[in-house]
Amino acid sequence: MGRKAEFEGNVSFDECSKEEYIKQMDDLLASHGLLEKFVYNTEIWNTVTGDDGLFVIKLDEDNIVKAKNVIVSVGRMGKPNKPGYKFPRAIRPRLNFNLSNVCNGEKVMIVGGGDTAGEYAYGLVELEDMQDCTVTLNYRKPTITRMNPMNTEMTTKYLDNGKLINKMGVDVEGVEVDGDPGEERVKVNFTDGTSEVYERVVYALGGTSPVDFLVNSKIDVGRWDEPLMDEKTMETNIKGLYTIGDVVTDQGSIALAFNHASYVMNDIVAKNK
Amino acid sequence: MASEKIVDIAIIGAGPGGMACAIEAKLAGIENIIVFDKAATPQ
Repeated sequence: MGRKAEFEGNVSFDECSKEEYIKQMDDLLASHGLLEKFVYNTEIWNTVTGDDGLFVIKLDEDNIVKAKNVIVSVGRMGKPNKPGYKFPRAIRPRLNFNLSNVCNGEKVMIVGGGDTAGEYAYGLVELEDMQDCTVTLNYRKPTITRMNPMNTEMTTKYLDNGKLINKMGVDVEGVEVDGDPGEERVKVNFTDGTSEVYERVVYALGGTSPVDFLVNSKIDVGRWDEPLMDEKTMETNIKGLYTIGDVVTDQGSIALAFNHASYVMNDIVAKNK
Repeated sequence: MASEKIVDIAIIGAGPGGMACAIEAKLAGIENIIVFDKAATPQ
């Protein structure tokens, strides 16, 4: 708190401590009768456009919310955790931390046992424009223990039917270059003495950023995994889908987030006139 | 029982930006909104 800011919209706050800020915002939301609109303890994995043109937000197996517009206001981009072994320079472009570089037809291995790993793995299997990929899930433990029930169910389903290749219960010892210069692939050496060559390895070892959500929602991202959008309206490549706040800026500015909210609402109102 | 709710605006993330969106929407006359957050309480 405590930084001077210029507010361009209707929402502002007085400089104060974090506790006082939360109190200010709570009071503001209450005064507008908005507290009942907030649903906590609910993590959203993606949003997709349905046949009726509305965005579909799946809360669980039985419950969905459909929306005319979606505003993504999730947290700051984080740095993903990396494995302890070295990445040889020649294959670094093939060692990734999200799916944004995966091409259809590639032989891909996802590394990790958490929700992100599961979402990447079964997400890649399900994506229509990635149907020709061969997807392997590698996790050092033999069973899934860290995913939420939905991701466990989805991942298990594809492991069981063979659409997702099971390489669990073994760790990666290291990676090395396979192939001639210009055609390098990733040779993965496992702790059980086996090796396998992949065209791409995607690490999902925690500490990941909201890029998971962005990619799952088919929002175009830039070189640094930032969402690409119109800076005047905050609208992404998907009409009616907006990204604001820390997910689009590394400045950690509440004032910017408030201003982004104003830009979005101006756009939505203008389109509804 | 399965449920389906339709809103004008769904906001994902109840941080400063999400809260501001909710207020701006209300002031713009858009009341059919919902805000989701993975946290258990306001942050």
